[in-house]
Amino acid sequence: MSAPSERSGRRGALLLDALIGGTLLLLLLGSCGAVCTAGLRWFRQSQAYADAQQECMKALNRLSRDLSNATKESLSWSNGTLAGTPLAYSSAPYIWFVSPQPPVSEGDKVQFSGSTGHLLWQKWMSFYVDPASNEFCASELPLTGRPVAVCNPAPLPAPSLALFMARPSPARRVWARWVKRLEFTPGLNGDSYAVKMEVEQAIDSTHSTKIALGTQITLGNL
Amino acid sequence: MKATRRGASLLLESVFGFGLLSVVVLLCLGVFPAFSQSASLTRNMAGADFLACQLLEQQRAAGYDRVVNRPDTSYTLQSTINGNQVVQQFTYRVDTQAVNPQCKAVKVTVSWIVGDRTAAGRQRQLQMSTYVGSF
Repeated sequence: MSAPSERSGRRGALLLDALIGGTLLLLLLGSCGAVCTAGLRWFRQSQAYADAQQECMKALNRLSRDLSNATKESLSWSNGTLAGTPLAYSSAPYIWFVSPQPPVSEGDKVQFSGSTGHLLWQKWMSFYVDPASNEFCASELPLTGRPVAVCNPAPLPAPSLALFMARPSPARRVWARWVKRLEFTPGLNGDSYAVKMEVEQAIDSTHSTKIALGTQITLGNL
Repeated sequence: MKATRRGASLLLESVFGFGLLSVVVLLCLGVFPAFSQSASLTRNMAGADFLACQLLEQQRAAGYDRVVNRPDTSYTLQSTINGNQVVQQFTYRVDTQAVNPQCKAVKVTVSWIVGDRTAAGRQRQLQMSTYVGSF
């Protein structure tokens, strides 16, 4: 049996043990929490950047591929009208042109005229930013009596943007989300276009990640 | 006497515990700069890859006669990460060489500096090449 003074000393030591243990545990949990929070924030930021970059590149790659096959005679474009803050369009930026590629459901093979060797034209192609959803869309409308050889030099009557926007899938496809700006600048003689695109993705209610990319697209069928 | 020994032992234990904890936390925090560097490298590599692909595409679309050398040109990639403006400068060059009268080899070189722009900054480079034919 222990003496009363010895038991009192053990109780004091146990209390001290518990206090030190608790403090260490709290510090450990606090540190781990801080590290996890920072890690999550970095992860969200990196993911938002990667997503925004991927969307922007995907859209510009697709636009480059299709637009470089267009002819300047058939081409119409608009940078839209910006209104409000944050950036919102009151009218959509768009570009449309006649394309020698067949509709998406028919593959990717272009056709040439047997007599002249020139490209035959298959469809109207339009790229635009939907002001309501900030989506960058591609929409196509097959030419009447396609394939036709009338595109160069005579321009075909262009359909309206509303017609392109109303096309069902797969004739209308979304190529990028969160597009905040799309801008076309024609080069000399209209045989090339500088295209700038801005994509912005929200990380939370107050922070966002934005990326702006630009490219020069040369029209190949002059 | 016994209580004093016990107190000293507890102090040692707690100091030792704090030391271990600090090492673990510092090790965990040390991983973050590496993550950040790796994420930055990936971003820049993707940007350089996009630029190189676009330049090759431009050469292809320009037509055989207009596939020519282009001197060093700068390209700025602007982004906003978490509210902070980030500007990355790339430099690209296009080298062409006639393989035969109907074929040209096109090589695109995109380079950029990692880290600060002093001597401590390291240069990274990405090259892509293709052939353009005349027919």
